[in-house]
Amino acid sequence: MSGTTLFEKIWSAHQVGELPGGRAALVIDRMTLHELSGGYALRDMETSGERPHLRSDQIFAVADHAMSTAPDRGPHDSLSPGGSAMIASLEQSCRIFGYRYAPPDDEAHGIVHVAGPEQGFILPGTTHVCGDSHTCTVGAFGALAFAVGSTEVATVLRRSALIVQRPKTMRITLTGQLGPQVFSKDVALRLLAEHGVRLALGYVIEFAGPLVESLSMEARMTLCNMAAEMGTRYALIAPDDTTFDYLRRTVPASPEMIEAAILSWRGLGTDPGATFDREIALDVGSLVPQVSWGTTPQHTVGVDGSVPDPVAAGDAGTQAGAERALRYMRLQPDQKLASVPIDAAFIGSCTNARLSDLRAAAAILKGRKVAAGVRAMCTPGSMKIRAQAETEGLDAVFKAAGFEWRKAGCSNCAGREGPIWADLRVISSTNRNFENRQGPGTRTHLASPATVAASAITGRITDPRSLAGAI
Amino acid sequence: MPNPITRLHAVALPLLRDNLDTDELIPVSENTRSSMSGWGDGLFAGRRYLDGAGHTPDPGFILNQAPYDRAEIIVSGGNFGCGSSRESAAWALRDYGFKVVLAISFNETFKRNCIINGLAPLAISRDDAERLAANIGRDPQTGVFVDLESGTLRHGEHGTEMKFQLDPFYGALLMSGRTEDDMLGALQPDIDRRREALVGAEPWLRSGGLAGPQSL
Repeated sequence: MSGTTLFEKIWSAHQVGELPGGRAALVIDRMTLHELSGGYALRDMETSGERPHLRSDQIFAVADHAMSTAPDRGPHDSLSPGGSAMIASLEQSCRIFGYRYAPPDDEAHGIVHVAGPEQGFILPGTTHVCGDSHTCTVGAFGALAFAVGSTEVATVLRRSALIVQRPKTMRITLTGQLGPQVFSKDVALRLLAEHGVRLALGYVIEFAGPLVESLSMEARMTLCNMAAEMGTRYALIAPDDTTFDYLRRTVPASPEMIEAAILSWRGLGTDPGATFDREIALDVGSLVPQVSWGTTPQHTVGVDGSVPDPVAAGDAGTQAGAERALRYMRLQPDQKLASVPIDAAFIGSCTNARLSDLRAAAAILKGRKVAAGVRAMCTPGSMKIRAQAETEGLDAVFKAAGFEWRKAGCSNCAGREGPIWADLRVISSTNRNFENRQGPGTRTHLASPATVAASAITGRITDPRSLAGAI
Repeated sequence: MPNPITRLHAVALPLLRDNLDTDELIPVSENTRSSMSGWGDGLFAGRRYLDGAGHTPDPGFILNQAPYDRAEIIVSGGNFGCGSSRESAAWALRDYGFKVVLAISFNETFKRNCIINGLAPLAISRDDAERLAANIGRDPQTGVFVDLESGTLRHGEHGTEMKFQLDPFYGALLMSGRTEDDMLGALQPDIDRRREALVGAEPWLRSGGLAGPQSL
């Protein structure tokens, strides 16, 4: 029996013509813009007098990368050199071309991959691009959402289409139930530890299986977000009732229109007989919280584990990479991760700064204080999440524990708060632990928000299961 | 339109390790220039300078050492250009003067950003990458010859020939200077018809938006 995958259904609906090497022109339905990659093309069009081809309902723009997250920020405040000009320029271009721009104190403001879904902008079965590598985050809605560079942002504005080389298909089937204090972030980190950062080079990933079906949209977005670290720009999850409930709440259309859309979207999922070029499976039943020890997300072990010895790391290239990582991270082979003291703790980013993430962290922080000397910061993923968290009193929990409670933005996931963590060791709910990513000499340990919160309390890398419910 | 490239003989910079990421190629602190040109001095800025923004060259960094300071080819490992999709990683390489990236494999978005900007991303085997880096280390002055038409390269005029992989479609773009944007222009009527058919069948595609100018 044959069948069609979710990916193939979206591809064929949007394909125009055939080009060599398995390429096609794909109609692009929607695009999100941020001030770093999104502004160049609009500015060029302003200068040349060219009109963009995309309608206003196809664009959602927000300044997230360079935007200050200070509680008293102004509309163009930035700690990055040149940042204020880029923010102002994006805002002005959107005004000129009639595109929706979310100003920083609007509830619609946030990290582009967090705010886009909240505003009902991401629809199943569509093609979607953004000049940002974590665009695959919103593949969790069954949209073929992928990263492009600034020049391709311009091409989409001009043509409503892109030439795309058809990727091979990979299904990652996840089974089992997550234990207490284990999250989809831990699943993603485990996949990276087992299969490496080149796992999906040349592939589109579809996450499937009973575990995925049981996850909230937020947890699904975390999983798809981390696909960017697995060597691909494409991740998908089939839309189901969980997806549709989210869309009923968020998409700005009449209830009749939404129900008609849902009827259509129900047919999008991969057919039972469909085959993939590659299949991978992971049972999460015995999974423990994960923490990265090195400078690539595949440098990850369980929080109860030890830093591996590079000598055991396969080929010469991998071994050299591990040795370099240990020097940068100032760690020793076989050192227990749970013994490592941290200087700072960060909860933020398009990976893990949604409401469920803040709740998980607050559950651990409640009634406790951050360890002396640890700098702790929370930047909610959007202003809407920030407001919801404040309604629930989560901000009070964070503040009482000693966390800074800031406004939404990409913040120090990419070192955008200035070099506040130079040479410090940070445990972070983000996606990349590259050298100098979070600041000069900053040593990043990736983990879930719960693990970040637990580590902030004790001042060393800590298994959140040791603190949960213990107070 | 990028400058076409078919053949090149130039000094090559060996940086042979895996997962060299775009944060390293162009760090965040350099990443807020308002123009798509003039990014050369931001290349490797996190490692190339003694004082960060002051841009005083660090003599210990290989790019600051002759003859590597005039390299137009880079030799690296697997998953080159991983991480952020920032096109400025390709702009920084291009504006410094690089024309060819030889690596064991490439991040997809980075590879596309190279093609768009006339940089040739050429895939070589791990054995060849190691051999090439060792040869360059012994004799950097001789330079590396790259020929996109024949799909071969060699260290020095009489060095051993090595093969590289480049998708023929990308090869044709690089050698002609033609862009995908041009090709899409020819397909525009078909693209518009398909988009109209999609919106007709799925009117929810028009949800949201502002009551601003509507161009289509």
